[in-house]
Amino acid sequence: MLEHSLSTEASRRAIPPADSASASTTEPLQPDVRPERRRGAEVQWSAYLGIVIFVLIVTTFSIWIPDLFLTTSNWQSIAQTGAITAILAVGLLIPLSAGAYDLSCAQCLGFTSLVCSWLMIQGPRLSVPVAIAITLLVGLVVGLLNGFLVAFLRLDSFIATLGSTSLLLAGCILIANSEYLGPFPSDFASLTSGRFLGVPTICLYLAALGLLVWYVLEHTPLGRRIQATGANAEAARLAGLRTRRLIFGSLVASAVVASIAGILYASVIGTTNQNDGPPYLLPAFTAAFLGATQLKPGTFNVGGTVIAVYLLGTGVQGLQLIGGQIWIVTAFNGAALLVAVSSAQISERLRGDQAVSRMLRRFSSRSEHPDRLEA
Amino acid sequence: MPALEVVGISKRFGGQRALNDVSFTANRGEVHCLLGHNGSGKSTLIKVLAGFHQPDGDGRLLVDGASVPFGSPVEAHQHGLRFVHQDLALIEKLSVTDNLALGGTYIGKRWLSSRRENRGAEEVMRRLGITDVPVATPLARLSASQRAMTAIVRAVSQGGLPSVLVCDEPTASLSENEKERLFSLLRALRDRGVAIIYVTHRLHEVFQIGDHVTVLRDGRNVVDSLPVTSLDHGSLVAAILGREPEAFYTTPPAPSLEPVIEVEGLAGERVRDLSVTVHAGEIVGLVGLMGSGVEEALPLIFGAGATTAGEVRVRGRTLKPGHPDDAVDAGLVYVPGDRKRLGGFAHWPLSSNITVSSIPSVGPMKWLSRRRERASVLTYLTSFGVMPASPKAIFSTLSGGNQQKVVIARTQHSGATAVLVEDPTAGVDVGAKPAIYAALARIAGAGGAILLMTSDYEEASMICDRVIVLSAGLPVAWLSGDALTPDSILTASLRAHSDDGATADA
Repeated sequence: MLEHSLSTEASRRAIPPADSASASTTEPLQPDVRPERRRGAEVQWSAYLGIVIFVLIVTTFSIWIPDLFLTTSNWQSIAQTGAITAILAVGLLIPLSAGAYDLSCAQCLGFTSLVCSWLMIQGPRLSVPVAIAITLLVGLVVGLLNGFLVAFLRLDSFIATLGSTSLLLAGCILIANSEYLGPFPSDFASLTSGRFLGVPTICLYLAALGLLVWYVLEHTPLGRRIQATGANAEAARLAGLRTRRLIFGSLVASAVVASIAGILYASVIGTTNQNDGPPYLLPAFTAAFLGATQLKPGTFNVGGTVIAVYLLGTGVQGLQLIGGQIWIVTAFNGAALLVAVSSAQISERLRGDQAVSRMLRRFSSRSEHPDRLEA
Repeated sequence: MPALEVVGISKRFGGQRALNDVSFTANRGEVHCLLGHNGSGKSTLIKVLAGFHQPDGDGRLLVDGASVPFGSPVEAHQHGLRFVHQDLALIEKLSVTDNLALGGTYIGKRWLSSRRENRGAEEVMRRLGITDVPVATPLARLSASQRAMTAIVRAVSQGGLPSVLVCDEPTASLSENEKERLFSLLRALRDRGVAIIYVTHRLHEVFQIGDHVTVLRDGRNVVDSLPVTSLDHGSLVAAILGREPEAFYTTPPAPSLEPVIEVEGLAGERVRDLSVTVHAGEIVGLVGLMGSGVEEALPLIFGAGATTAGEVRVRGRTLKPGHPDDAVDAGLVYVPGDRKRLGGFAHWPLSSNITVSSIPSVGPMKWLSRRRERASVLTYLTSFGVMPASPKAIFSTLSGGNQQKVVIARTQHSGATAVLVEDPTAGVDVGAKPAIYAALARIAGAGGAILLMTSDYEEASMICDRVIVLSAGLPVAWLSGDALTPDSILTASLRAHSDDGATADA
């Protein structure tokens, strides 16, 4: 670094008017910032809207149907149902932060859960640890394929992962052949059975993965580089970051996390079939985008995503308990996403900031491959 | 009757007075230059004219004697006010024809025939004396001046010739030769009776094209519609700055002989054979007209372009072509001309913007301390004079000049000693330029090597030790010492590459 040499004045050129460069050391902050933007530090109310709504939902159902809603088994059910979605969504955050879609994550969950089942009870009948290890390798291969398509063949991630989704679906049908696979050995089921301090074990997996992804994405140089790639891929590349490698790695990571989710899914549910993956696609994306309006608006973040999953999960559970029909559940998911994103954008407009709008715009005009500058 | 009359317009934002009783008049058939540095109220005034801001108090706006209500872009348009903004507001992927039809209309009503539409667009262009813009070509493939002309033609072709055309820095990214073509279009419009309000930072343009001048400073007009002939360069600078200008640079002594950036026989799409050596402590300029390949040169050296031949060495290390990351590893960094799109991370704080090439940590998976990060950038913010010098400030809220300083500061945070800089003062106001020159001088003074691509020849002659002029992808002139003046650069760049007799590299 040039720190010390910078402080010694460059003598060979006359340094221009003092007021422009050196005088600024004495009056650090202020000027030049446009007044309406200076309130950046102000708390944005919509960033905590999720938590408020969560509390509202809990209160409403607690008053409405206390004997159904306020039970341990109900809470455990919510926790357990949400955990799989949350794990998948947390993995999805990695490529999203790097500016790439991974539409194949849900199908990867479905495929790996079938692969794991097949390895244990139909095909080679491997022991549980070996089956899990091989399944994780399969997830890795799926990620390598996505990464190869997006980072090296430079396909649009939306299209590439849509394609690999279809391939994975074909694999699912091939394995399951419209049958249910199961039941599984008891030590496989015990991966996720049981509780720890009343919390279903699967939530511990979520906590561990969530912490890991949070740490990497938000508190390491690697995470910063991933986010730089997502924030402005061209600027990141010109700043010397290996953007292609980062996008590649992020897609591999999300596929591996999706396969972990797949294994846990098989273990929790006890049977698997070819239609298991797709229902997770929209909830995972909803949670990721809704989560990006929470806590750190404009940034895909683990905390917001987990809040989003459980906000939706709790609402859905409550609606089901009061006898809501299946369409209400789907409508609730959609409405929640729309309300969250629009309220975040409106509150941004009110304070003259643009974090969420920027993030959404970035995704409507993604450019993962700024390999050449347009002159 | 004047085409445009602005009477007593004031505007406050919160406690800040952006415009304070501004008045001026522009007549039909004249180019009226509007000057003033950033924050002088120029952009606020334009936004008031365009109907985006409602002024305070009882100011008035008259076009051809008719009063125009404030706060309505539609009314402004209907009264014959047209605007060409700095970013041109064109769609890169669409052809010239389609861009001209945006906001206006196609000739065909039910069935679009490309041939008929293109013929129509050509006709519109030809009526304004433009014959060299291929109308069927997407904007992205046209030169900067062709784009600027398209934007102007679009503004004046919707609903007949306007009374007033406001051009906000249309030449910001144009070189001298390209500018001349734009000026002839503006003169053609002027001669047809359009009043042109011409906003610029480049003072010599005022003398090239202006008839009258109005200067804003701190929200007031300090020069009110004076004829250009009554002013000179010095008095304009004094009016803009509110004080006498100071000399920025003296002639530098000879640099050391340690080569830092060595480019040998580099070729890309337009650059055909470029060899340059930049020594420690040296600022070398690279200039040329648009299309000469000069705009491709720095990305090519940095490895961000498509290299077809040649090699680049930084302190003896050969760079992998096509790998900007390898260049950064070798200590070569790039400050792109397009700050907004390529330079910074708009929504990130200054701290992250500065550290992104060299994030302060022991390893990629180690805890990144925000506090340590902010502390590590503070020296750079203050030594490069970034305002505000606050690591938490958001990049996009800074003025153009300060954004540029942040991107330059990044190069120093990463410890780079070889820096490629592209048009660092394009769109930066007069008052902020010295600070950017100081930042570059600082890097060179500390033993760094700078290769500067610039379209501002005054700047090139002022801050560079040597200047290399490109034409048709080849270096055609090497200027230094007394031979280095804006005029000599212009002369050299206009010279065809075929008659180049220069052979010796400086």
